[in-house]
Amino acid sequence: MTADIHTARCLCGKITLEATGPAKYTEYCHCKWCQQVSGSAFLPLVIFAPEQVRVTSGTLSHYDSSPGCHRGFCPDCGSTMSFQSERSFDIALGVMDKPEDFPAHQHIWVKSKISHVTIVDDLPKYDEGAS
Amino acid sequence: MPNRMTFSITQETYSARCLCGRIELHAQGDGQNVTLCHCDWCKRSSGAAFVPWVTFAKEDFVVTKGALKLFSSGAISERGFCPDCGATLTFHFPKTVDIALGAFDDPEAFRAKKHIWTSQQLPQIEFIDELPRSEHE
Repeated sequence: MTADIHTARCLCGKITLEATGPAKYTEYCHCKWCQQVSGSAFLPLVIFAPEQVRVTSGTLSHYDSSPGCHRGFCPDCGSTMSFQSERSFDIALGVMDKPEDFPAHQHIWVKSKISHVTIVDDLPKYDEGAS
Repeated sequence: MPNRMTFSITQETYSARCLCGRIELHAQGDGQNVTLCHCDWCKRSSGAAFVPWVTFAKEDFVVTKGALKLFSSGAISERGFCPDCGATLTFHFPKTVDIALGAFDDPEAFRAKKHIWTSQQLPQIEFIDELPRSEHE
């Protein structure tokens, strides 16, 4: 029996990640910090438990956007790759090798959503982070 | 004394910054050239599902604080990011500089005008606009 293996890599390919087992869920984060780090209108994150994910090549650089929250990126190409805390290891959807495999389950930080992004799905929406 | 702002006063000036604030950018223009790029390289670089880029003439762009780190992402293109926080900030062609929407202090100032690289668009995100779409550049 083979476990689900989900792989991810940065733009230059120096950093690769591997997640084993099913993702817990996927969420679209609309917070200002995720907008600023990704450059996009919102950041989809695929949520895994910390023990599910390992860095299989290269070394992530980290920026702590708040205490205990480590945002991982590639120091060579700048790719936004991860959001790590004690509770989870989130991988940015855009660096997944098969991003189409991860439909969203919820929206968080909707209170800071860019106004011209219109949410037309019926997924749960939270003003801030979901517990 | 560096001449930081040499722009005329007939156009809007927009400010942008990275997550940690060490890099600040200013650009001047009409802010109308806004492109949603769905290419796989933009997805990898941003981690996001697509990147909205606001395009300015190279001479209308200035780094007012800090220094971008540049990654060569093509024969004539470079991607700029903050080496301290990793924020995705810019895309440089010889005559233009694009600034990522999420980096602007007021991202509400811009409205998308077109989609490019829709051949690589993620299937799980639906766009309800009727903007022009290009399968490639």
